[in-house]
Amino acid sequence: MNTGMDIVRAVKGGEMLAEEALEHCIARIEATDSKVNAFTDGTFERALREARAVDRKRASGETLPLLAGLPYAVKNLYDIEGITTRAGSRVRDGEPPAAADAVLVERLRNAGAVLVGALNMDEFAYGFTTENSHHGPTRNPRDPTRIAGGSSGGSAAAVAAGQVPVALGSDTNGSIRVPASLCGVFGLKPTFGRLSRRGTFPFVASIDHLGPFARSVEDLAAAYDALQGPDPLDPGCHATRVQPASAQIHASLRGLRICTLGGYFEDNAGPTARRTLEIAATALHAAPGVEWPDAALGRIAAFVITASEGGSLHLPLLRERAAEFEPLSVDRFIAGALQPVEWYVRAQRFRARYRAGVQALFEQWDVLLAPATPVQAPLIGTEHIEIAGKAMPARPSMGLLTQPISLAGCPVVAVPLWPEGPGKLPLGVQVIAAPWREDLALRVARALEVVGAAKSPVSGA
Amino acid sequence: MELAPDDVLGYVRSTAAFLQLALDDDQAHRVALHLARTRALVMALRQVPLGPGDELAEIFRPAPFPAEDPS
Repeated sequence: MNTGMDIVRAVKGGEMLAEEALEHCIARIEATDSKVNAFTDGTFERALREARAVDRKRASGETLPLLAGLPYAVKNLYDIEGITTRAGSRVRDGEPPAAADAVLVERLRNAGAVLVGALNMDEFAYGFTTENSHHGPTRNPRDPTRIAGGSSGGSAAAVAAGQVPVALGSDTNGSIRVPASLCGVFGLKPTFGRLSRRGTFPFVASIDHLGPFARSVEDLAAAYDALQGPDPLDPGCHATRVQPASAQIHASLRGLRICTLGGYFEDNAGPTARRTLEIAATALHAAPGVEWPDAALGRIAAFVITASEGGSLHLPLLRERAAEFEPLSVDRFIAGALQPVEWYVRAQRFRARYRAGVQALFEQWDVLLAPATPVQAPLIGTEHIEIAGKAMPARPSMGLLTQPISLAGCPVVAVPLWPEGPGKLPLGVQVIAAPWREDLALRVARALEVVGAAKSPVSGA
Repeated sequence: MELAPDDVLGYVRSTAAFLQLALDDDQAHRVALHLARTRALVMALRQVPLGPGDELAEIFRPAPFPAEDPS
């Protein structure tokens, strides 16, 4: 069984029970999670109820929903009814269990998917490595001595290890795209405001996005379609209707204007990241080297907005329980809480101008390509990485190439490539489209998959 | 060990006290180093000429604009 939609087709066709698919999935989790440490919670009893409900529906001849029998898991900042949403932090251990599922969990439940558990992450999503001191680091299934990336590291690792075919994560500055790149899976950060965030623990309300991971573009698009829908109760959900993408992923690229990003994105990419981009550009016959307007300033504005909103959000807890926070991020949270308001307001004023520049760029191009991370997965505990001959702090630098894009709110599919060949470490390419054009990013990602440049095999972990 | 500039350290100590955040000396130094690095980044953002017409990226909306006029 290769992909999530293979499972769905088998369940719908009566070749497999949803309960059997779940048993296979649980066995894989039990065989691999002592090495990977992707899961923080199992919801196996709930999963069994959901799987049996699918099987009963099929037995009674009812039409099965879009994702019937598909096992999945979610980053542990999504509310799961009956479980405390800890958002990677022990500070929240004593909080009451969630009274209801997050909106996106509810949508996958209604689509017939089967929730098997919650996944590890950087505390409160402030990090790119998932070196979580409370739950232990999530290890990269491609090489367990290396980081999985973050902050949705558990989500990417669970998919790479074949524990689940689909997982949900969140992305403020790169937290879907960075772990997707380092673990060698597909990840979709949709347009800002596309998917409801209600029922998830926030980080930076003005930049937070949610989205799926998968090992194939078909699975990614199917999950994305099931997650869509307006939500008037989420002030950050701007979509007013569903725009399905699955049916369009096989369409031709003829006429699409595709270009690579140069300048900032070249300067901050290591040699392997540059080579990875070349592989994608060659496969797509992409034009070389357009400049993303004010990319460095966009990254700075994202950095400032993140620190201020994140620090402000957690200030009450920082006053009382700072000693229980993650040692790797508590000082950054405090520094953010102390930032002068002028920095934050300036960053938000700049963001309006920045958006206009990015929109102008998409009048000339349909899809842009850039590496997702400057380097492949570093060893766990790495303090510095080298980029263009310069030693850079490893943890914040993993988001150098993703932050300018999410500040503009553009949809991105992180696509796994293997620049050093099969069995070596992966590195992802960002396929970037104009706001609300996830269909184009998915179509180009699918083209890379079809020609064999992009793939996401189950790791041997 | 890298030292935080004195003005940043002083700012951290006074604003932390104002916001009722208890920081020991070591933590105040670490926080000040973070803030000093951010200040260096912000210098570039300050060079962007923003006029009075450059408003925040998103502006408060009291309610969605009505789809229809009241009857």
